[in-house]
Amino acid sequence: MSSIRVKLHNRGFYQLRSAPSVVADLERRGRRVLDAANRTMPGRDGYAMSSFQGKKKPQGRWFVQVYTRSNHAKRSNAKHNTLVSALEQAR
Amino acid sequence: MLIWPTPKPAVLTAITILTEAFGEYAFVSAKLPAGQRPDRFVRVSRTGGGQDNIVTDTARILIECFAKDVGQAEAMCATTVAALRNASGTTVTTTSGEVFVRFWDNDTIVDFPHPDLIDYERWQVSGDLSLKT
Repeated sequence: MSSIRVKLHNRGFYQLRSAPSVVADLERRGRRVLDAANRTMPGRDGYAMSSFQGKKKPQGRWFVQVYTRSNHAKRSNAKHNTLVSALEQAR
Repeated sequence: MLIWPTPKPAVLTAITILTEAFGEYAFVSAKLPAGQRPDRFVRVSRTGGGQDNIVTDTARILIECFAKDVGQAEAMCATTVAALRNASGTTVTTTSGEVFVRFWDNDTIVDFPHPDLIDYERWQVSGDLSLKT
């Protein structure tokens, strides 16, 4: 009976995590969350988004973060749980 | 023709489960208590989720536990998680009828002070409450 050997190519996983289609999907979800959060503060753009790949070790996962960028947004988010509610848009 | 059933009220179900769990210890409601606030209270709200299939409605529920000190607020979160997990597989009798709880899952607990209620600690739990439609 022949045995099957599986060899994982970690560099391939790393490249897959930064593939344009993967990044585009994550950023599209992040932008939906960002837009939903900013809609709660019309004209202020109190929330911002960043997109980057994590360190190669351990995994090099791609991160999209939506965060408050003003004191007004921080306070509003703490009061209304804006980001928790907007997170639903990432589905 | 496929007839989709009306989903059961998820927030009301969570309030019913938590009211039973906390009893006299803490007031549980969908709104912040107005006027003279009690020492401990819990607010339940829905932040998302939906009916992915015909038999189950999965609601993303946010539970905010307010107390005068961190220990109490954290313990209230622990009680919340235990009560909701233990409700899995049971039928809850709410004011609008009976609801079968499938499961409570994906919960996270976070210390997140409320900017206006500075004499209270707020710890909150969010998770998925899955109900039979």
